Amino acid sequence: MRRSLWVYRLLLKLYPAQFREEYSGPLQRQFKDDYAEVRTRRDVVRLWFFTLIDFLRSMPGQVSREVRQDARHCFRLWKRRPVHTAIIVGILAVSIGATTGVFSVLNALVLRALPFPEADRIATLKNFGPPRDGFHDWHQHSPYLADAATYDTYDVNVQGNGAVHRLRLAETSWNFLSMLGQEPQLGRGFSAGEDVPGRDMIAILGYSAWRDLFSGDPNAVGSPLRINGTVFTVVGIAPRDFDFPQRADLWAPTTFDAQLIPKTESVVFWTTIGRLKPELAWTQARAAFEAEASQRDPQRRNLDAANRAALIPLQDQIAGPAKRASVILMYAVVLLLLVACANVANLLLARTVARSNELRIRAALGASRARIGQQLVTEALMLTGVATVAGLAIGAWVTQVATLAQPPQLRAQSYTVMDPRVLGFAIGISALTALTFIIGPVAYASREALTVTRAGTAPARDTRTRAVLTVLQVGVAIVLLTGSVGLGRAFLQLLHADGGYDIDSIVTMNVSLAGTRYENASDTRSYYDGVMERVRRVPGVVAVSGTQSTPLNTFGFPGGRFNIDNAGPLTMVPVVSVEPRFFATMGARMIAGRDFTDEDRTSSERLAVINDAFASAYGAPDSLLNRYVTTSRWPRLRIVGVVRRLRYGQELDPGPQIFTIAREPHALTIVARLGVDAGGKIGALRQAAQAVDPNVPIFEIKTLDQLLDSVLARPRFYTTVLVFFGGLSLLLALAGVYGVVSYSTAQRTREMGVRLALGATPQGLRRGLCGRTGLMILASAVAGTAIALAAGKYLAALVQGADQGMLGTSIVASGVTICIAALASWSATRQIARLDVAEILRVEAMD
Amino acid sequence: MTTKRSTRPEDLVPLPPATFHILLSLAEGERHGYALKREIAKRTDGTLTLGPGALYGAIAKMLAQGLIEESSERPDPHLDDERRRYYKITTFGRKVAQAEATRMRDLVALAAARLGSREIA
Repeated sequence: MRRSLWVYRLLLKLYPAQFREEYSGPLQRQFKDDYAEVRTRRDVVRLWFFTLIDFLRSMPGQVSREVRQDARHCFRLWKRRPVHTAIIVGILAVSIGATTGVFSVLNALVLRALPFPEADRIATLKNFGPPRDGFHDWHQHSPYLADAATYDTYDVNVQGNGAVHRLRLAETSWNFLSMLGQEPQLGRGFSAGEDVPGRDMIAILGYSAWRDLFSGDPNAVGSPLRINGTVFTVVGIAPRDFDFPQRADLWAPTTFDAQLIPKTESVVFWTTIGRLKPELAWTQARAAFEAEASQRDPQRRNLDAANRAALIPLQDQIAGPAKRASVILMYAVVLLLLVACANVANLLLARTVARSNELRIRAALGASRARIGQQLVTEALMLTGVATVAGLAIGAWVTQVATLAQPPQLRAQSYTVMDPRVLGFAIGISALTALTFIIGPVAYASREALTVTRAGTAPARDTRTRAVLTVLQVGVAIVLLTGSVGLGRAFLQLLHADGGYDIDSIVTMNVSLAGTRYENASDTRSYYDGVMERVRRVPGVVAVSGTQSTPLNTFGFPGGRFNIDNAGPLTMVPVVSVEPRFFATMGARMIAGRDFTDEDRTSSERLAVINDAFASAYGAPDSLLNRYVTTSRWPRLRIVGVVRRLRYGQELDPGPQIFTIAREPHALTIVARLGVDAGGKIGALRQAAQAVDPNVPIFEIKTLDQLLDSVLARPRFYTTVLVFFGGLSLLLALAGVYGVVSYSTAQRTREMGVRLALGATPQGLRRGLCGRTGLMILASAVAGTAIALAAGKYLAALVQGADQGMLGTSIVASGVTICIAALASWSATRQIARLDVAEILRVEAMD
Repeated sequence: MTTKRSTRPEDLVPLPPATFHILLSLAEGERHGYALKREIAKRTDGTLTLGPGALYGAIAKMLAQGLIEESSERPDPHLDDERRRYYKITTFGRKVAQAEATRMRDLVALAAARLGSREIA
């Protein structure tokens, strides 16, 4: 009997507090009564069975009843202090949202397995070139690889079923798909020996390319396909979600037959991936690989980590730099979440202290510690519940920003919040958050409010910890605010920087003639001339020209070391090929001389236009005309014009540039200048350009505005991140100062009352309290400004020009932070002005 | 903390069976929890046996609705000298029980009219 009663008492502890306190006695008594009727062992089992059923059936009702009560009470409290509640929910939502968003990126890149069988056994052989001849022989005798495949990727023109598309081709060894465990969903895969020249003119189409080219017709298998003009036969259709590597659209076993498909690119990067031998540990495989690598290429061993040969998991290679960035961001947002917890704890603690009278009255009316604790926990869960819902929306926005800045390499890795693991994480982190910030208030409520003592002051240690935390927060807020203002300003500068041309009215279109019938020189020219002529006739088009390097979209040019008239130092200068009237079309500003003309194209003499950056080292622009750009390797070029520098990448100052006239390029970017809204004309331009020959794909038709957008995605991301952290840290600093000051104000209510009674004025008391906080804030402002100034050069590495005018920025940031902190502490002490001296002293006398 | 009291007895019907039985038992006089349980079990031939959780859950709700109220504690004369909580029906509780009985009577009348009085006897 005694043991059963003991167990039953334990069970009763699971009921919610109010019901338990009210009925624990009668419940135990009834259990005892029931037990008294028990005769046999079977009766005991029966009793326990029915008792457990009764417990399970009655508990949910009681829990929901008390939770509803607590929730109603909680809503009343929220309504009474809406701003205070909004600050708490806001802080929690943003920090939970940021944490969830960053986690969903990490989840996609690191936690979610690649969609291949035993994907964790697949390795990339980084900085290691296995033999191209005898590749299969090499991996068959490998001590650590069960299988290996090699690939490279290109963008190619693909003609199939009448239409021409620009697609991404992966040239692979025959065993690429089978090594990854992929079976075509239609047709067959590549077989052994099909990557040998002569047998390799077969291809597997990706699912979406199959839908686009053949409208999903199963008869596509067996159809011919022209890849850059070379005829292939489709032998299979890849599984729906397979797009490795780099979102490839089709695969051909031609990696060992480099000449088969004509390409515009001159450099090929082969990548080798392999599957580890069964039961071989990664460490053993690495050791075997490193031994082989250093034997093959002893020099490489001495290179830095980025260039050394390494055997790394495929998942890590695909995640690339985004993984490191998101891990660092994860640390940052978790830290932020902790600071947010500390702040919310402070704010709630201040409120609990301010509510101590109400809590005592409730205690006197019979509410126990557990009941009041349960109420506070419900409030915490409701706060985080609301914050989590808002946080998920913020998290979804974070994933969108991340996708723009660092798009995932595979569709299977798309960043999303709607993933069981991410949702679980969000709920878990919210529950943990609630637990973290509610411990303080609950401890206070059970320690102070329920013992009939005077509300004493907090232990000195607690107060000091809070003060240090506030100083740190204010300092960090200043650093981050300075950084975000600096980055934001630099970003705006990048956005509005003068590129040397008109950005509003220009559309660029890319054409590649690889594999088309215009490949030989005379056809190339007539094709381009035809396209430009048709584009020129589109209503609204003012001028048309072309260039081999797309403005704002080129990172790396052919170039060489040049000087003028063999005098002066040879400088590294990129060379850009352009069509006649290029500068006029772009709206570039000629400083001296003239633009290229049609006649220049046939001139026997080679001509150049140089930019002001290159010219400045040699004299006045006018004086350079008809002099020669010279180099050791090329024939000399006569200077016919000097132009203001043109921006090609995301750099603010492009440096020296040389422009020459394009001869017969296989790929060209056509630029059209419009007198009307450029964005609205894209369809008409595409139609006009395509009309010359529907078999030549015209791709990436964009306005310069759109190009600028994508060029600036990375700087925008950094700026967004820092502005986000800056804004949040300011909010946190505000909440921190407010929480600390209102806590100490609430705690010292009686002391204040006595002082008021002795003749002090409310304003004087407020000034005293705020003054003490002011000193703390000033100290952290000085430290914060110093750190912000020192951090300037790191910012400049993220966004060019972010370190300019840091002193002014940091002073403004400090000013703003100090003002906000002052405002927060002044408003936190406003209750002093409302103190009722008589009331306070009456309570004092009763104690 | 009590739930807002419903003003009209009709608002609370139909009643859960346990609630109705408790009201019927208390209509005869004050009872403590265990006596209620035993009486209800006996009256329903054991088909409605209330465990402690269900019984006091119903009692807590009925107190909040104002159907019953606690009477003073006193020893149970039949069992031992432990002090027990006694409950009694309120006027409102009596009205609610009557409203429920009326509802049931109307239902029975309806059934008799449709099915014939012999089938439902």
